[in-house]
Amino acid sequence: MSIKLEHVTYTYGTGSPFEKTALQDVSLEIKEGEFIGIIGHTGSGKSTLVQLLNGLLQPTSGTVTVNGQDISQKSKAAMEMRHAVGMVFQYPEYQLFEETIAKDIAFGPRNFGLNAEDVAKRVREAMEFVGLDYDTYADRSPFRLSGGQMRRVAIAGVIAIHPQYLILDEPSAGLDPVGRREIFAEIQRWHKEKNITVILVSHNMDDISRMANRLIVLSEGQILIDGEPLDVFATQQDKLHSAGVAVPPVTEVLQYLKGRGLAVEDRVHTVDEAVASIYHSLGGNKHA
Amino acid sequence: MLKDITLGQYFPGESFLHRLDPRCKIIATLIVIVAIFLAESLTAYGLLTVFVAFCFGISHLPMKLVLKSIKPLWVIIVLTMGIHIFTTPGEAIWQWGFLHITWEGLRQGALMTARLVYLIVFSSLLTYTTSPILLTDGIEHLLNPFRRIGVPAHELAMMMTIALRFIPTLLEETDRIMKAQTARGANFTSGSLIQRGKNMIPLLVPLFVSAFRRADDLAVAMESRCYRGGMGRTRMHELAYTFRDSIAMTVVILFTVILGVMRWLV
Amino acid sequence: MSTPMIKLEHMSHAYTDENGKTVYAVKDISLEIQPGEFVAIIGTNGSGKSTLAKHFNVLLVPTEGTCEVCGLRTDDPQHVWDIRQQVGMVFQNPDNQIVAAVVEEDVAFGPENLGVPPEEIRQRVADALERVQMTIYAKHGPHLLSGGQKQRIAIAGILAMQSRCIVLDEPTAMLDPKGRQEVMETLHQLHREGITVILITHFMEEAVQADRVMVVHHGELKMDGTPRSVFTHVDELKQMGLDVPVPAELAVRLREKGVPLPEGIITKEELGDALCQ
Repeated sequence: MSIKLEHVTYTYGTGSPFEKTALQDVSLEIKEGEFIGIIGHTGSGKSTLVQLLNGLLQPTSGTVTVNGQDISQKSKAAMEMRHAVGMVFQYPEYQLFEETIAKDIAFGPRNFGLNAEDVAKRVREAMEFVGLDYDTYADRSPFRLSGGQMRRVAIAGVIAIHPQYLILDEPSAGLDPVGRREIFAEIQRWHKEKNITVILVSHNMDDISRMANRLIVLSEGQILIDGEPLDVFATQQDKLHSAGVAVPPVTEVLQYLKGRGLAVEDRVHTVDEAVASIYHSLGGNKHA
Repeated sequence: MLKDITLGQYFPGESFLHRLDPRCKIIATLIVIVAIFLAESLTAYGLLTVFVAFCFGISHLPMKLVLKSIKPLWVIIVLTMGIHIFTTPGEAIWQWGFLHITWEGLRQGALMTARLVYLIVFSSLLTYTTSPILLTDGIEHLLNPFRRIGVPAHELAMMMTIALRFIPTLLEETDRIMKAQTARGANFTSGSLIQRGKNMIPLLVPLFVSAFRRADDLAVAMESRCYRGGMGRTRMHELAYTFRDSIAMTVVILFTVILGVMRWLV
Repeated sequence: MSTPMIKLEHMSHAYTDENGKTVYAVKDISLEIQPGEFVAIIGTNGSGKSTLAKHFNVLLVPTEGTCEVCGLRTDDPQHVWDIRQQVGMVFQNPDNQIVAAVVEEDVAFGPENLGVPPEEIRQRVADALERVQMTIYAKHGPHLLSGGQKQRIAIAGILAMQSRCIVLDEPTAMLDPKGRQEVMETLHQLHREGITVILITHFMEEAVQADRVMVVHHGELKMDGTPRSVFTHVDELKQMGLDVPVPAELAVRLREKGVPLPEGIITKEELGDALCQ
C-alpha cells in the first residue's frame, strides 16, 4: 500500500507563452504510515506535487498510482482511489459553505455515498477529534466561529472522509503559537491512532523536525533531498542552504555551539532535548 | 480550466491607435458603430471592409486576434446568417418543406453577417489597443459632464478599476475552492442542469463570503490611505488630447458622412 | 524633547458583545512612541494588538482615555486626514489592500487622494518604488507578484504619501520565509531613513529585531522594553502563549539546572560566549 510517482513531469500552459515546467521527472514512493514533511520555497513545485497525489492535476507525463491503481484513468476504481487521499488546502476555512457546522463536515462523506447514519457517526467523530463538542457546536453556523475554530471545522470536513493518506498544505498559516500547537497535536494524534499517512507541506522546519520521520526538500521542480530530518540537518546543510531553507532554530543553535567546540549532540527535536544535550556536554567540567 | 480564460483584451503596443487618447477612441468607436449601421449597398459594404481592414492594419495587431474576437460569438453569427438566409422572402432557389433559400436571403445573410463581424472586430480594436486603466479613465472623463444630472462618474470609474484589479484574484480563488471541494467529492461537471446548479452552491457561497471579506478589507485599506471620494483628487497620468487625435477623429467623421451620403443621397 | 509620534493616555476601547456585555479589546493603555523608533507589538490572536494599532491611524477612536498622533487628538474629526497622511498602515492580506491593476497606479493612490500635482506624484511614485526596490515592476499587474513583493508595494504606497510613521498589522503572517525576510529588510531600511516603524506580529524572530518590544495580553500592556529585557521573561511569555527565542529559553532552562549563566542572553552568540569562555 503506497502512493507511487513514476517519472512524473508536470507542465503548466503547454504551448502558450507562459509554459512552465513545475515538476521535472519526479519519482517518489510514499509508504503507508509515514509522516512526511515537504519543504521548498514558493515556485519549487510543492503545491503541484501534492495536487498530483490525489488527481486534482494530471501529470503531463509519467504515472501516479495509489495503492497500485493508476489514478489518471476515468474508471470508477480510479475515482475511488483518489478519495483515499484527503487534501487540506491552505486557509481551508475559506471553503466552508453550509448553514451548520455538522452539515459542512457531512459534505464529504455524503458525496462519497455513505448512508445517513454513517454520515452522522463520521461527523461526530471528526468533531470530537478536532476538539469541538458535538452538542455545543453541531448546529451553529461555521461563519460565526473564530478563525482558528473555522480552520478546525474545515480540517474535520476532510478527516470525516476517512482518507488513508492526508495531505495538509500549511495548516498552521496565520495561527499564533498556541493555535499552531493545537492543530499539530490533533494531526499527530490522528496519525498515531488511525495509522494515517500524513504529508505535511510547510515552511516551518521546526514543525517538520518535531513531527515528520521523512523530509523531502523540493527545489526547481525536482527532489533535492529525501531523508530522515535529523540526518538531513546533520549531513546536508550545504544542499539545504542552496535550496534556501534553514535548519530548525534548535538545531541551528546546537550546530553553532558545536562549531565553537562544545561537545553537544545536535540531533535533537526539542528545546528540552537540547537542554539535556548541552547539560551533558558540560558534564565533566562543571565549568566556571 | 479557468486559467484558459484570457484576462482583459488589451494587447500592448506602440501603434498609432495605441497612442490615441482613450476619449477619442471611445467616441470614434461609437461613431463607427453608427457608420456600420448606415451601410446598405454593396459599395458601402465594400468601403466599410476597406476601412476596418485599414484600421486593423495600422494597429499592428496579429491577424489571429480578429478570429479570437469573433470566436466567442460564432453561435450568434451563424444564427443571424441562418435566419436571414431562410426567412427572407423572394425567388426560391432551393426548397425543402417550409424551408427555402432565396437569392435575396443569401445576400441579406451575407451582409448581416458582415455587419455583425465588423461591429465585433471594431469594438475589440478599442479594447485591444487601450489598456483597461486608460479605458476607465476615458470613461470617467467622458461621463464627468453628466455629473450634474447625477451620474456618479468617479464612483463608476473606481468600481471598474477595482473590478479589473480583483478579477484575477477571484479567478484564482475560484480555482482553489473548486479543487478543495472536488477533493471532498463535489462534482461540478456532470448531472442535469438543475443538479449542476445545485452543485455550484459549495463553490458560490465561499466565493461570495470571500468577496465580501475582501471588499471589507479593501474599504478599510482605502480609507487608511486617505481616500474620500473623487473630490480634490488628482491623477498621476493626465489624459492629453493631441493633434493625432484630431486627425483620427476627422477621418472617422468624414468616413461616416460619406456612408450617410451614400445611403440617403445617392 | 520633540512631540511624541504616538501618545496614549489611559486609553481603552470597549464594545458590547451579542449578550450585551461590555468587553474591553484594549484596556487602560498608556504609552509613548518617539519619532524614529522601531517598535514591535506582540501578542496572540485576540490579544487586542490589532485593535490597538487601528487607533494609530484613526480607523478606531478610543472609548475612554486619549490617543494623540503627532500631537493631534484622534477623536477630533478635523485631524483625521492629517493623521492618516502622517501614519500609514499596511495590513495582513497583501491581496486585499492593493487598489489598482498596475503597480505604479497603486502606489500613486495615496498621493492622488491627497491632491498632489501629477508631476510630483510621478516623482514620488518613482522614488517610493526605488526605495522598496520594485522599480522594474512599475508596470506589472499586482496579481503576478509574490506576497513579499505585494507587501513592499503596499509599503511604497505609504512612502509616496510621505508618511513619517508606518504601522504594519501582521504584514508577514501570510508570507513564506523569503517574503518575510524581504519585508523585514525593507522595514530596517525605512527605520534607518528615520521613519517610525510599528510592527504588529506574533513572530518573535521578527520582534527581536526591533528596538523596543511591547507585549499585549487580554487587551493590556504587559511588558514594554528592549528585546533583551522582554525576551528573558521566558516563562511569563510562554504562559501568554507566545514563543521566545531558542537561545533565551535554553539559557533560562540551563540556569534552572544550576549552570551559572549570566542573565539577558537572547542570541546564540551570547549563549556561545557564556558557555565556551
